[in-house]
Amino acid sequence: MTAMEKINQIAGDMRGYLTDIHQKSGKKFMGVMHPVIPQELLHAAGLHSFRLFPFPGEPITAARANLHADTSSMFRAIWDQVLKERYPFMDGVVLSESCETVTYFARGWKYNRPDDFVATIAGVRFSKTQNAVNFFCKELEALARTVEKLSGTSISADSLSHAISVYNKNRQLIRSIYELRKSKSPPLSGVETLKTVMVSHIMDKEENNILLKTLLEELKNRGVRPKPIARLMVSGPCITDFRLLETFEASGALVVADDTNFGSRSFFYTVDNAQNQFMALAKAYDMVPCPFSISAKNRLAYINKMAAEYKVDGVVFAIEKACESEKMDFPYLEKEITAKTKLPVTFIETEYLCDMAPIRTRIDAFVESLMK
Amino acid sequence: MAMFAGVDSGSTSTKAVLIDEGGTIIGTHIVPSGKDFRKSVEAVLQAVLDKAHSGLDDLAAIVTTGYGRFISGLASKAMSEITCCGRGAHYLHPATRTVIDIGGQDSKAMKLDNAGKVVQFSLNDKCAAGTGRFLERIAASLELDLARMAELSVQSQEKLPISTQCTVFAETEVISRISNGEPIEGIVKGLHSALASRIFTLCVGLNIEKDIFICGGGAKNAGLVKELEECLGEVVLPHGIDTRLVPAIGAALIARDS
Amino acid sequence: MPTVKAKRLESAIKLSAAIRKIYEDRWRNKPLAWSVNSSNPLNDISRILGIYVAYPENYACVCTAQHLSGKYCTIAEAHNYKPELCSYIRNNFGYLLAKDGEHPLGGIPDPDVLLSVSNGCLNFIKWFDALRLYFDKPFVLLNTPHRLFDHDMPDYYLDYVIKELGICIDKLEKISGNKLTDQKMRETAFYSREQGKYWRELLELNKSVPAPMNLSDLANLLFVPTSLSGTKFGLDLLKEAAAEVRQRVQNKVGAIPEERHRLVMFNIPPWYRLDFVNYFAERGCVFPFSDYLRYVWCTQDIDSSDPMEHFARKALSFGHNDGHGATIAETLYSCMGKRLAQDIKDFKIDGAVIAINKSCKIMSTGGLDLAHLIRKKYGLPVLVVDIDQADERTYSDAEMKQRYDAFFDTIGGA
Repeated sequence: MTAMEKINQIAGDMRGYLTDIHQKSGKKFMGVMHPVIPQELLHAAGLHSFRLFPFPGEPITAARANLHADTSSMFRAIWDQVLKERYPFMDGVVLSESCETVTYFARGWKYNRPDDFVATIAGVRFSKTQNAVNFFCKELEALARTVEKLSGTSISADSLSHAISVYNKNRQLIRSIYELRKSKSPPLSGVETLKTVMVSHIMDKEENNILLKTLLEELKNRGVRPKPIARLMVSGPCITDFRLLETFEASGALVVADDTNFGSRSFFYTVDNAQNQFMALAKAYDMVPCPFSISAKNRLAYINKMAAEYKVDGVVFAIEKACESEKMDFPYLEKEITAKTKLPVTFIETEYLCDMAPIRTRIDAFVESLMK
Repeated sequence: MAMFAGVDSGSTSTKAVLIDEGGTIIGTHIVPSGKDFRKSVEAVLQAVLDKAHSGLDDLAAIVTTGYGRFISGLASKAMSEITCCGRGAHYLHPATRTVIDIGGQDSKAMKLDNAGKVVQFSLNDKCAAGTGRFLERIAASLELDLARMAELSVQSQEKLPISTQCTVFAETEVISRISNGEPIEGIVKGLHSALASRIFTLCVGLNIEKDIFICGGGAKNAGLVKELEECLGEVVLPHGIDTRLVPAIGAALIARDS
Repeated sequence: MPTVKAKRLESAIKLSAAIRKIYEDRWRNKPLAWSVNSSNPLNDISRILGIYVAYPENYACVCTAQHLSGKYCTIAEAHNYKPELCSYIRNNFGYLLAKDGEHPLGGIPDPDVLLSVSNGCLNFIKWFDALRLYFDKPFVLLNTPHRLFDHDMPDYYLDYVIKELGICIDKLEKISGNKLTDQKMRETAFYSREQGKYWRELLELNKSVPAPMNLSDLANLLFVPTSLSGTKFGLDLLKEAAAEVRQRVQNKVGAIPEERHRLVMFNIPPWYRLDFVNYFAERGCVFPFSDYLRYVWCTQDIDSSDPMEHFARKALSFGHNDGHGATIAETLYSCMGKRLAQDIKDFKIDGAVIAINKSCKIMSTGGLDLAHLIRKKYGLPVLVVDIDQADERTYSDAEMKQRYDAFFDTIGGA
């Protein structure tokens, strides 16, 4: 089986995969919400951590009792699936001060499921002072002590250093895969990239590094694909639904870059392993370019840089209906990108389990407008 | 002479337009979409070909658009209704630079370049309140047809604002206020104004440029058009042709050009 | 239409006149900061440094009360500020983008600096970041971290905020060209602390039967802790209000003519329809307390002998403190413990109105669980409604009255 076939296989049933490895590994599993939580700590504590997302295709029912319709449908879907015990492999969860719904429902989680192991950390939104990094460092130290209680394993300097190396390697491998998408005819599609990163988010990182190395070799030897009619960059929060990128690429375009929580925001940095590790993690994770952590101006710089490097023809903001933090940045970003970066921009509103037909209409129109 | 067809498979109605190589419209036809898009596309195509005393074999190319554009299997190509609408509007009125298509299910605004190509567009967010459905629901609860509602709106000297955004809530509000003795004409004018205002919201971000072309089912509503003119200034409407046919015209032209 | 109106407090009437003067007079001065209506010590400190502070959030309430929210929100949405964004933000940007025409109270002059604090919602930060990009002006943000669970706050939280406050002060001193004096800081901290005492006294006085104040009175007085924090003027106003209310309690004067039911309201009231309390008053229902007024502002007595610590603690304590340690801008979950049970008892509450507010996740998340708790544990009838605080287009009189009337039936044919 090729590496991409393996990725497709895992991506086709991620719940089944997680359930299977949970049974086999003997480790405790922790779900992690958002890319601002250093999973290295969990790895060093002997835990298997995975990024939390809703499995596709299940209408939200049970969660309506606790979360009203104006909250993030992505998180509501997660909560819905928690209530329905769709994460039997999840022994604990880490929630952070991040977006509104997660921040304010952390208590709701404990209130409704008091026996769940829920660890939390505060954030230092927008503040990049050394004082802020020092604070965040202390929060991470506190988080480390908390997660050690779940695993029963203490985090040592060596184990943390090792974990950082593993995660740095993982990020570097993903970035290498992204690099290939800069070419005129990228060897893999946006959908394949999304599947690759999603698998990375659930797999043991050391095992995933081996898989990614194999994938890189395979991709270098893939035949030349037809040049796409348009190169798109997607910007948005938690895009985990393959149908969305499949719809985008059904129009004939190719998604060559992204500014998303599960995508580049999770991989485009390195933790400096040479210094105090908690401080290094605090510094690196304080800079993760999520809208709840950084200014719209910094986001613009990030998007512009990526758009230039990946030679995109247009930017698609695919934003979940209730995601205020992304929607708050959108007017500024749209204006600047259109007027100064001179790239066409379109806005597509998404929701968990939304119908793709209206999205197809919008993306088709956008791609058609990009064609000469 | 070769013929080209454009078919717009919408949620409410399916439209077909035939043109010749020169771009002259030879025939048009509209059928209700029903629940089977494939059947309605086949039916409308057959009907328009019958009018032109022709058959499918006489068609050099077909382009489909609308929500059902992928279903029929007949098309040479499927294009978004935004692109087709822009093209059709430009054909009917070459000075068009802004197009507003008011459908039953969605409303769209487009900015065109001078060749009729869409350079920017915007559609309504998930909400019925900016679409034709808004008026249809309320007309039904007032036991009026849309034409009569439009008439009342145009005639009214008074505009009673309906601020409620939700279509369902607006319905309740309207009935309640009429029961309390408020004049139906003023309320109906307020409703048209509310819809016009939401449609106007779609356009503002596009930096509206004249000439502004209004099409779709909503363009038949004189009350709505009048309120839109208050927001936008002078507008242009399709003349001599059903206002719903504009995307199908554009699709036919694209079929010819491809 | 409601015919019963609660007796307004004289001090609330005086405050309304003062607010007008502040808008028309004080905020015309330079340099002017725009800030959030939160427990933001940067507001108090800016004043000491000679920077005037205006509040676009409060101004959004003013515009909403004057029924302009529909207009401003529509304009904002036309410029890509989506309908899912907080209606205060949409009102604000709609006002900025409206350009022509008159604006209530003459509008607010453009700012020279933007101030914010992260102790409330994320929008406090995002909104003011957007404003600083819009105006291209400096942005001074006090970061206060959110402790997500109820447990003792470690000391390093306070240390962090004190240091961040110091960093912010340095920036404000540079902007203003003035230096903070210890004497002025102490005085401001003192007034801030004292205001808190009188605010809490007002809240406690409303435990009396009949309730001397209705929701709208306290909501009007809220201008003091939110916009006049740390000022002697604000303190004097609250002192007057407290004296007036004590008098009412003594004379058994109620806010409404015939009090038959006492209700608690959760969430921000609809500023464009604050008179909904009169519809309730007609049916003998008064609102002696609300979470927005009781569990958010001035919740703790914070020693002011060390002003920096006072302000840091004040910023951290924004929101309910149920005794497990200072907690920040809480969700409803934090009040679902002993404190709510005690307050329901002390305020003699026999029903609850819970607003789920699309614009405010901080005040709405937990509303559904809260409704369930109140029904099940306290056996009280609950009305759950969708009310947006500052977007009038979301409110339908006919629909809401239907819900109110059904609720009145459940609390015993009010």
